[in-house]
Amino acid sequence: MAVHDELGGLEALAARLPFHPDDQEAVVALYERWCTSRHPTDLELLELWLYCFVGRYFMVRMLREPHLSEVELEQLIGDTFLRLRCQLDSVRERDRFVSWVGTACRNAFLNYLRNLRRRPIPEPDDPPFEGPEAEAQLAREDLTRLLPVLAAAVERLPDFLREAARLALLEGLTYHEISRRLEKPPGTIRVYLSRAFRRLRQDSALQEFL
Amino acid sequence: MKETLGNKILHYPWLSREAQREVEQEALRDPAWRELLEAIQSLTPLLQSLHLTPEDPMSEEMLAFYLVTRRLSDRPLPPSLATLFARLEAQLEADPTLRRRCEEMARQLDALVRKFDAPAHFERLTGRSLERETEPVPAVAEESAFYEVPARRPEIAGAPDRPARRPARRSAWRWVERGAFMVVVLSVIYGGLFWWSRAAQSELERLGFIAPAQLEVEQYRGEAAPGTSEAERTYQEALQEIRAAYRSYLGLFPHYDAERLARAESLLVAVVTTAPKSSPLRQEALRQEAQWLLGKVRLLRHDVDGARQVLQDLAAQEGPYTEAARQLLAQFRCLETPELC
Repeated sequence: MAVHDELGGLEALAARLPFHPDDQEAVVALYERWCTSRHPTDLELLELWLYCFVGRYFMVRMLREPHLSEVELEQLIGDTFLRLRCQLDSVRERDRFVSWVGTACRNAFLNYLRNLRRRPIPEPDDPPFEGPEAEAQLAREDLTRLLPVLAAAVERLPDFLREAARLALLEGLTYHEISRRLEKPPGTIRVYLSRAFRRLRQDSALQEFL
Repeated sequence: MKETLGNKILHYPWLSREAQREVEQEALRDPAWRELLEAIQSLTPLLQSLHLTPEDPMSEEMLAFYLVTRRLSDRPLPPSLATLFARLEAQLEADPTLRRRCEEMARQLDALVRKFDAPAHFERLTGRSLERETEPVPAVAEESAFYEVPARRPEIAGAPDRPARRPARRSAWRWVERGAFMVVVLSVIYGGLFWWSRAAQSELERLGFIAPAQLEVEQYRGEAAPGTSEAERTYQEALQEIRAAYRSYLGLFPHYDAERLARAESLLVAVVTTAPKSSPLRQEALRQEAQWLLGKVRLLRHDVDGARQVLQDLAAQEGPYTEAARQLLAQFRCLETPELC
């Protein structure tokens, strides 16, 4: 058996992809190409990416719910991966493919938590009783879904707005610092940020988070 | 004053409700700031989910995401995520408490994936063998969009806790595909050779071709039936000679043995001469059949004048080969003077 010292070999699978798993432009292009050509090579890459995305999603969730075991991790990854793989054809808006996968992962995890709560008689090895707090927390903050989608939406902004939005939202600079960094007057920055935020508001991939 | 308001607006999603109201009041006095405030208000639910407050960007959720994503791939991150991660790493560098939290979570992650074997799990789920597959390509293959392949839905593999059944089916299907591929390849090769073989034949050889049905003999191994005439026995010997003269590999590059053809010709001449035109009906049919074959044999031997002579004789009579002989003579004329055709 191979020895994996990073993410249980998930990183070895990700290394087989010709792009970073969070490069959404490349993922959507791959997905669209597969939808058009149905070439087996594209499907193989899609499967790899899907497994990596689902694997990372549940690893992050498991870190936040430490009482869940690696057996449950494998089960969740396997079940969700297989279900999504069978439904690859059913994405209506191809450019929202990554959001679709993220939402499906979130729903799978919520269902898993709810099923745990529904068990009538706890078994000795059962994890502690799950309150609805975990579900509410998941609804509020789910960065594994949100961050890659937001980062990709920022990347889609026009050049002159992109940098301002990136500095404000992801680097956390103050209004003054952004003005200095971009060497633009504060009034210009104000206009840039207003436009950038409005465009993000209209980005189709972000709609479900708003 | 206005610069301070700008910073407050950027912090708006994470302010208390009371502080938010104050910012709203301030912004109401200046339409330019109101525009920015409205824009950020429209993103407030999303930004609140991020928990990316300017003061403390590293929530537990963010730390978990950062840790797993950093381990996931060595490839360059998309620029916006790279910006965020650079910020988080600067904070990790500067804050020992945060570093300890990160190390603790890293140990937790190590424990979680200790027994997890993602490649083996992936192989079980998909039925694929990663070892047999080639190493990752440097960039997504652009040409794949141009391949013409049948549409294929993703197939369902076995449940995650038991081996997938798909490999056996896929393997069987692969053999079928390979078999079909071989049939197509062999057909193309045979078609090419057949065309070549036809092109290599002369016009006379093509006209002189004798269909196998005409060479059938009445008895097993060609023995003449008892009570047959001398002419019939000779005719059957001639047929056997023609059969033996024919050489071909899988129907390709047909040719005739010249010696045997010469023997067949002399036998056929004997049949034609021993069965005169006024002979009984059966003898007459044999004679015409022998004449027809004699014409063909002479063509195969490139004896055009001899063939024409016997075919003209045949065309002048009434019988089953009359029309065929006339057509063959017409083809002769076309070969000799193409402008007449």
